Amino acid sequence: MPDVNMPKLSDTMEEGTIVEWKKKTGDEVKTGDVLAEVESDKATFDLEAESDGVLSILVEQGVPAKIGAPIARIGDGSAAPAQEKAKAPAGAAKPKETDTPPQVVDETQAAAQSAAPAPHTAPQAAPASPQGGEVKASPLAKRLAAEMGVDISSLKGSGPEGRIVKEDVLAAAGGKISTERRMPTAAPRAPGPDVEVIDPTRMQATIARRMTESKSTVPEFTVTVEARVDEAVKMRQQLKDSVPGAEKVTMTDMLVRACALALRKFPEVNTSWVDARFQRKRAVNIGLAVAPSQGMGLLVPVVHDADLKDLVQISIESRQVIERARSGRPNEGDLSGATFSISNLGMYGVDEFVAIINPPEAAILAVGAIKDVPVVEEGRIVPGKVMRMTLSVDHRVFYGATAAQFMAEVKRLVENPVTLVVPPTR
Amino acid sequence: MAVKAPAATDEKLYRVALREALNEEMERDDNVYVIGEDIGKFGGAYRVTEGLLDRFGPQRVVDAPIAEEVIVGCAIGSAMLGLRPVVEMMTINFSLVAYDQIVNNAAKIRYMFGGESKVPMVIRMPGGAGHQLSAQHSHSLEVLYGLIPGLLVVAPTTPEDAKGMLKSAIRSDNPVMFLESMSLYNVRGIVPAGDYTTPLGKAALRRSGSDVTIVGVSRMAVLANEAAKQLEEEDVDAEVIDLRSIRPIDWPPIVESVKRTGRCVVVEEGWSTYGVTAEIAAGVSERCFDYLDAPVRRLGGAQVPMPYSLPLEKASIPTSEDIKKLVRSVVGK
Repeated sequence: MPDVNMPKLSDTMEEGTIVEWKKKTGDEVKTGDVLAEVESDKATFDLEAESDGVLSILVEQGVPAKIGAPIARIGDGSAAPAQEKAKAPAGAAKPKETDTPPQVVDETQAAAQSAAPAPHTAPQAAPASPQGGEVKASPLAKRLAAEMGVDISSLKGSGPEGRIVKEDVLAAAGGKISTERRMPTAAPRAPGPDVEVIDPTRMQATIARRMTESKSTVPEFTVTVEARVDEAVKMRQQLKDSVPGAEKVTMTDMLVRACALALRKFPEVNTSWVDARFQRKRAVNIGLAVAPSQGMGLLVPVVHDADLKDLVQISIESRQVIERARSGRPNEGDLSGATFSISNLGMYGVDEFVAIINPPEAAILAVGAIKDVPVVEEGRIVPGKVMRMTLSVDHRVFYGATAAQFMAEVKRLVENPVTLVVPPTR
Repeated sequence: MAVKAPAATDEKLYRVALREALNEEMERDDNVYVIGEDIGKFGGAYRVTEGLLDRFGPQRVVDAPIAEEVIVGCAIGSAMLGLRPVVEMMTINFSLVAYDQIVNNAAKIRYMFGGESKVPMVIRMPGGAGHQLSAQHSHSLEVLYGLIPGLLVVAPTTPEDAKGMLKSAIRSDNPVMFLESMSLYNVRGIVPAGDYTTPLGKAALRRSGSDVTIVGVSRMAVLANEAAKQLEEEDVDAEVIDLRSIRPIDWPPIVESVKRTGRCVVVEEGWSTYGVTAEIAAGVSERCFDYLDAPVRRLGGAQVPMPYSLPLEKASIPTSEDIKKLVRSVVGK
């Protein structure tokens, strides 16, 4: 469908005005027919048809149009001229207001360019228009809107400067389409190597070496017991509520105390196997496996002489030593000298697990979560709190019977927590 | 499960970490030597090279005249013949005197000699403002070296990185511009004991977050981290990437992060017009366009010669408050 464009009638002409249309929309015209009288800056000329067909007028009389801009079309009469013509009156309403009404011209051009391939793409071209209808939306919002079939021009932006942002599109899409469900098909995995090689930190390299050494040199067996901890939980609450200074006693602190007492009773557990001989330690120093505050890794701050300290002292000291270790400012000895270790993953909801011994220590206690379970008491089912503890043992240092007795003692102490608050003996 | 952390790890000053790296590398490799102004008897303007003269002697700890072009020229020549010079520029400002040597010789020799000669040289130099050293001594000129192909340009911000990256720089066969910061010399941090290296060319994730990615250059990475911590209270979850390597730029972690957060703020102490932040912002826009939920914003120092007046100087350097403000503007809070 050839356009009839505003002709350039003189070198200085920038725009022209239709003085009078000699034909009407819908008229059959032939090549050479005078279509209109056009006024340039210098003179008035007749505009002739350059092809045969049915005329459809785009720019009304009296409205200026830039040279080259389509002012009419000559087609086969099948196009809906009313729709195309509709734009002209909008511009015609204010012909004198500006010397160039680019809105009319530009939109007509845009429509003309997109008419042939796909008329319905016109609305998408609209945001790119320098005039009026631009949608202020982030690239992400535009992409999501397209993926989710949300009409972005219908949204109101909540972002900075009124920009339509991701959340607006998601809200418009409603709960029906979640990004989580759509994203996998929409967004391919970011390009990159299939395997990322990461250098370990010094700490991680040391852990890898020590754990391999432990697993390949220590003949290890494990013993698990389950302890009722209703009383311990109750006592902890009592300490918190009514004993100044003991507000922050944790289950781990109680275990430190219980293990310290049990280690005093079973010195063979507080022992190392070095150069084919037993090294029995006098000091009872208990290491606590904790995660560092930043990055992946493992720290084992140590409560020294735990057997000589009461529960509150242990609580305060363990908190301090853990804090120093996590902040990366340990004091000398904070991270060394442990004779036995405890690793408590209870706070993560772990039921039970097996820890790897940290040589030259002979054992490590792995502690699970406190769980509410039905327990049988004197033939009746009652609610109870239980906690599972697994001792990993270096079999060169002590044996099954000792391990069982040691765990029985830890269990007894934890189940009778009053034993944990009596003052330590020297 | 249970393992002790490396017991020898402890906390040291940034400057001490650098000194350790120099000591260890000079001990490890006889070809390593240091040269610069006042680095021997005086121990260096920032005390980084203290003790080196006594330990390694004047042959390997060279007190040079005040002639930066000569110092760098000497280093380049000796590097081409097999030594591994570590130059100390008293400040990055003085390196401008040697800019021709660095740009026209150090950066290009390996290329122009078809790889038959190389320049394994490190130039250490502190930059940054904040000490009332005025307009001629307060530059952050990362970008002047960042734009030169043939140079590696790094800016460590932690003592651990300072030591590990200096060791990597000394062992590199290419000229490395090692940009220190006057304001970081007295920062303390964990420094693993003994020999370790930190790779050049890699950015570091300092903090994970989901709302916005803050990329910090040199000391601004430290401030970005502080800002991110404070923004927690405002319910803004900021991710912080320490650029560390200005040339080459380590794009993958930045791109991955911005695609996740949808927002990006870039901060440097130097002038942001034509700055490192300009480069990062452009690269992020190119690589993450369809993932951006807000314009990439950047922050740099005031576009003025650094004022001597303390209040004016303070007003010219980005603060964590400035970073917070910019982050709020992109997250819409």
